[in-house]
Amino acid sequence: MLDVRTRLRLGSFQLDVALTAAMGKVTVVVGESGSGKTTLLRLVAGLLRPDQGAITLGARVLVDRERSVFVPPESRPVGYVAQDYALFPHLTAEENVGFGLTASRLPRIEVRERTRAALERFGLGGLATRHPRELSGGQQQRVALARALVLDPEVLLLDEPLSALDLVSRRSVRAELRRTLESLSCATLLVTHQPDEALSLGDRMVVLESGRITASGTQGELAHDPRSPYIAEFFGPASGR
Amino acid sequence: MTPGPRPTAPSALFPALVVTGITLLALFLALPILALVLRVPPGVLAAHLSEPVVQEALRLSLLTSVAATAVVVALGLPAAYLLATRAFPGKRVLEVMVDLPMVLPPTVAGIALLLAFGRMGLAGRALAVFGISIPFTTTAVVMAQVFMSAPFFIAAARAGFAGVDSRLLEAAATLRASEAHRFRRVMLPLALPSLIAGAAMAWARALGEFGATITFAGNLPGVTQTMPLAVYISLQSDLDAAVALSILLLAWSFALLLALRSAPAFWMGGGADARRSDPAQAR
Repeated sequence: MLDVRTRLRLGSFQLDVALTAAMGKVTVVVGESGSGKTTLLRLVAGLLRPDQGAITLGARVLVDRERSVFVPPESRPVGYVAQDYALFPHLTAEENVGFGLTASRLPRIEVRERTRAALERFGLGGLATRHPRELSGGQQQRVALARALVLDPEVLLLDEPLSALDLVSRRSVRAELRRTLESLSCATLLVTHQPDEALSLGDRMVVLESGRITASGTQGELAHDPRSPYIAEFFGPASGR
Repeated sequence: MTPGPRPTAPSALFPALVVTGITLLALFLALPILALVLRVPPGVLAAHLSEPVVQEALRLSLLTSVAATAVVVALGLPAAYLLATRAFPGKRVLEVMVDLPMVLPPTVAGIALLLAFGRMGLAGRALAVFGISIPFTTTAVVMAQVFMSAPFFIAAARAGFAGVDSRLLEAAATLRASEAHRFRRVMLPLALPSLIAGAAMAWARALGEFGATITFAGNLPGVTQTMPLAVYISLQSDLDAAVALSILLLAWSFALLLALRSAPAFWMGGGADARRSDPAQAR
């Protein structure tokens, strides 16, 4: 179980959240742009330090301001897929996927085997020697996912995983992503502002408005009882309300 | 009374001014080079270039400038990395110190080096205890070149490091990469074109170094007399020899710059899309 209780001020913006994410489940964080979604992910990844509070993963403390604990990003069992994937442009798909294994100083043979297996799993076997600029948006996303998941993270963070794709490929990639997410045993936090993604990809929803969590629950519960105008609008006429 | 159509003169004037300016500048820059190249026939040029004094100066220039570039890269990389990635107290002062030689008259740099490492200098007296005397040695030539050329490398390397997309470094951090690993596998390869360009500029500056060298290292043939010094000396005795040396330096510099200008097109292939400026992170 991932447990986040933190407060962070960035200029005039304040993020103040308390949420939990269960292992093997996808928790969707929805909210308008500027509501603090990416900031939340960056806190969990260790790319930002909270002003107050703690983030724990089971019995392990990732950050705790009161006890002056801060585990740097490279030491957290957290995978982070940024909105634009942030693939290394100078490395091939295979080198991108193997990057974290090499950085972990694993034996070369193990790096190659696990990288190959991950490439196969994501249907990238034939694209191993391509550079990111030679891949389609959907293929880039698979490389980014493979690169994060090959390290067997306990938490997976996905920031608007479909927003970099064109509308045509979005639907097929979404179905593919759903199958991947269903197979994972880690706790997944998925950020989106698209209702269709929130409804189809997640087990639970957390609504973030201006840096605060205004509602959380299953999609059914929130659709049934929208606690704010934003949530009501989020489900819109499609939800039948 | 409504004004008639505007006279066409002002719109024609601007392009005319631009063309005139460019023509004058091109002539001003090209004429001396042309004069240099046309002065000595190729046969005489070859004869001068095979003279022992010229050969000595050439060998010494190559040796010292390559050594100076190696030192500049080795000492400049950490400084460039630090300046590009960290904020720290005294950063402004370090920046000015690093850039200073770029605007300092080279002879002033030479005097400063003499006062630091000369026999009576700050560090020189301590070195003298161990029997080490730097001025008027080949080492002094390298030191003068390092002093004058370091800013060129550091400025380029710093810009190169700063240009690496911070999101890639963050991605590397979340992929278990230590800072050293991030530097070696992400920063260094993506900044490589800038590092090579900076090293080449530093090399060119070291090769042309005159003022600091003659002040701090003197003008001893075979020991401290580099090409630019040999040009200056032969100017007083044998103009054609000076011209021959000058043409050699000119061709060298021209080739270096041309290589730098044409190379990035294919170096950048992979790095280009990583070097976008970092748009503000969306919350």
